[in-house]
Amino acid sequence: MSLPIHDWQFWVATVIAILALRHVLKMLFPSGLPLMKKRAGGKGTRTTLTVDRKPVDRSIPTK
Amino acid sequence: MAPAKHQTISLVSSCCGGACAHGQRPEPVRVRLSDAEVGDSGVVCHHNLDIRDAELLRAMGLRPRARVRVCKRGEPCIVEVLAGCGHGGGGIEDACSCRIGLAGSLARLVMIEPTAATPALAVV
Amino acid sequence: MSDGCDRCGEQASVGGKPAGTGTVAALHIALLGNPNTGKTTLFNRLCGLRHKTSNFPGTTQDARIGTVRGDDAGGELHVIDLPGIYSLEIEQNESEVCRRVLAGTLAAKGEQAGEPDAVCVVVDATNLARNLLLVGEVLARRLPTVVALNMIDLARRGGFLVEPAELERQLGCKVVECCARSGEGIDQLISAMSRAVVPSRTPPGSREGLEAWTDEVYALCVGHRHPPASAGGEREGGQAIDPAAVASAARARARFGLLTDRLDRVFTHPLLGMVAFLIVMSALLYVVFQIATYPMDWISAIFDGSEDWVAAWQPGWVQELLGGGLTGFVEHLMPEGILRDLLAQGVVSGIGATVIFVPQIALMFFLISLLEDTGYLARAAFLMDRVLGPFGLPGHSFVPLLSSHACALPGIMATRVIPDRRQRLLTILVAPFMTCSARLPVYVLVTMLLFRDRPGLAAAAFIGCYALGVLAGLGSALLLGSTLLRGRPRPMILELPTYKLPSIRTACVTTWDRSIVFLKNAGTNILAISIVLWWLGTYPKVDPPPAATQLRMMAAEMREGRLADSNIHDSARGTPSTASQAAPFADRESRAAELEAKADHLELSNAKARSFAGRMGRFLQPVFAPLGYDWQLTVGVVTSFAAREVFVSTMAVIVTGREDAEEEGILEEIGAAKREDGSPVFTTATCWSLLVYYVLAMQCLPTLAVTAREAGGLKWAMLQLLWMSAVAYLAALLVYQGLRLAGVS
Repeated sequence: MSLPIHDWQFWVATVIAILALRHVLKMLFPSGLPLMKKRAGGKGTRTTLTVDRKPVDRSIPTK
Repeated sequence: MAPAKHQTISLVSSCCGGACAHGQRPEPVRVRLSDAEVGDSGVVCHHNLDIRDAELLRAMGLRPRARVRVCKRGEPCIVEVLAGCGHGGGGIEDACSCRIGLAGSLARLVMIEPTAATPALAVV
Repeated sequence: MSDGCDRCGEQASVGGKPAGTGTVAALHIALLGNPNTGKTTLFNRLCGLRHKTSNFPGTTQDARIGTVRGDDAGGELHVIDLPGIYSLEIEQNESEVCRRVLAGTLAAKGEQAGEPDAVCVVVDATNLARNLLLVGEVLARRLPTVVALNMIDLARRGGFLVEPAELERQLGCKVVECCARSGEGIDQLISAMSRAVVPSRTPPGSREGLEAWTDEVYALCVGHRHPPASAGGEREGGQAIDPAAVASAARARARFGLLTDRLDRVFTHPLLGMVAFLIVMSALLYVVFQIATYPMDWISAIFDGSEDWVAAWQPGWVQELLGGGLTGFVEHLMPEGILRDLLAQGVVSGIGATVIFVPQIALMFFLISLLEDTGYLARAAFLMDRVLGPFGLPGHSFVPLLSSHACALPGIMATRVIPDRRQRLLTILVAPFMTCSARLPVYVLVTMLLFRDRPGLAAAAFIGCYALGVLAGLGSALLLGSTLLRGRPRPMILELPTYKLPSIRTACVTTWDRSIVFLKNAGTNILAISIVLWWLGTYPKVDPPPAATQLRMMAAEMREGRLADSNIHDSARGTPSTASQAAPFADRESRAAELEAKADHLELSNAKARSFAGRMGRFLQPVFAPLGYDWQLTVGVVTSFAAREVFVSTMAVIVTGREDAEEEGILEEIGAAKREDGSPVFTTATCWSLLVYYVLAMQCLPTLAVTAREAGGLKWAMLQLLWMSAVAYLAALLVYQGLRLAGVS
């Protein structure tokens, strides 16, 4: 059992088959694969707000 | 406020003719569209249809004061909606018309005032 | 319209779109109107085949956009055919689409959003009163408007006296009398659309006010205000009238009305109507399935070749080149290799698998369009409402379900006519149960195996398959309608169009449109699936089986004369060769060629069995074992999940090693296939199980894709797939095990 990886025609045919598979998947999942959908806004990363590299004192009311 | 599911339109007073001899308006004779005989003509008085059905029928021509002629009873009820309105005594040609088929269950909810007398089927 | 203002340099415009310097920009015209006003006929008359069918994003409404050359002073007109509606203000999908297009917030796919430059409202001159409502709503939107007073020929014949000049005065916009069927007035209409202006009058805004306004306009413009005919027969406006002609027309109208009443009573009668319906539908299906076989045979010959067809009239060198059809042509032209195989077996085969269905689909839609044009289908819809209603389906469903007998793809797209969303979903979910053309090769194979030499029983089994599909569909609709898609059915309301002779031209354009949509939707998808299946069925490459190698050695020895005929054994089967039992071969070369052909078949069969597709089949075989399928059948069933029609060709390759499923005798060879333990693959119980499975299973990826799109989400396609697969599996299981228990092997 083997794949004719030394034959350039195999690679051309395989690329065409991959494109065809992509078309089939796009036909079934036009909005993208469910597992690959990013959530709106993303998970985000928690970070500390700083001004001039100093943390902001949130107790001070702003104007 | 949510819209009413059923829309009741009563234009009985505008469908009637003039006052009677005693100064009172005679009670109009109303018939269910499903009970009218084939060939009977009438004027749509009121209906108790679901609001979506009422809107669609109104846009199709089956509106208050529309003149109709019953072409077929039962399932479906087929009516010919005639052009113009009123009692048909204005000399308007009844040439322009369209036919509407509606389910019997809808025809039962539409009341018409016959322009020809059909006393046996009158609904008080 | 000038290109620029001398004072400020601002460019003049019509409807807000600036004109290009030195050229007139194309105008975008929205075509609007009630259903049954001849809007489609008018669009076809204006644009002909110079149009494309698209859709409105986020909706399931079709958008047809065509181009018509403007008059001498104007440029091109881009006409967009909007859905037929009774009013812009009611809560219906079609009305919402029209509202948004007129507001400039929705455009067809590939088009730029924006208010149309002008609106052309198509009005039925024989039903002016009702149509004026929509005209009033459009006028209220203050867009440049033109009214096309269509069907003017019917109006004249019916004795209607519409005064276009008075109508123009009342509406405040240009009114053009026309007849889309004959082409009368079309040039004037095009000219009017090029020069459309904002109406000079605005109707009342309220519903009651608008209705009263339509009555007033109607009374002024049609018949009512005509003074009694004088001695000379003249009336206001100078149009001479002949009282005798008017009376004659009125009598003719009355007679036609009486005839219409009678026909309506017959066609909607529970008994007579059903008889008429069965006659009409039987004739339609007979024509579709009988007549379409001729072009289907031609297409098959074009793609796969047919010696008889080509030999009949072509010279020898053409026979050699085209005798194998396009597949043979590619194989003849290209050097042996992977790309040749991909092109011949993947691409050409994939295209052929789609194109072969076009004659049936085209003929089906042509005949349905003709029937619709006559006015019969609207009456039949009410009749079908009685039949389908108990199953939760509306009368509108019968055209989509009927179309699904050719192919579920256009059938599902035809569900757009169903106004209620819940009922539309139900129809979409059950449409693939209807036996489509792709299942027929499987039915032919299995019924042939079951009822060899008993064509009557085979025909009965065929009909039984169709009936089983319909029953399964209706049963599923009933179940889904009372569980997942519970709701009250909406009673039918439908305008019944006037009976008339159908327009062949309209039917041809409609057929063309639907066929192109099918090719675009299904064609690319089936081609992609064919290529993927080809790759999965070709790789990985395996060493040839020892039996094939031995056959090749024998062939070489036969050619060299070192091997006598009597020494040949059929190595693959371990039985004496049939050749040695038949008459002796005089030609060593032809015998050697036969041995090599057998070796080819063995290698191909082995390669298929050990390919990725074959391995999948072997892996899944335990799942299908209770249904009576061995690994060979499982490979066929699994690969035909993507497209049913590949089952027979897959079985042909696995069992016989030959790729051409049309080859003579191949079905018999498939029928004689043996399992690994030597028992036949196609036992009676297995055949029935396979037949039932194919009637009920969902095995069409393009249909799943269209379901997802039309139903508004992949979850509905998944539900459809799971439900149909479960029904098919359980039914096939019951049939197989039940027959085994009854002693039928």
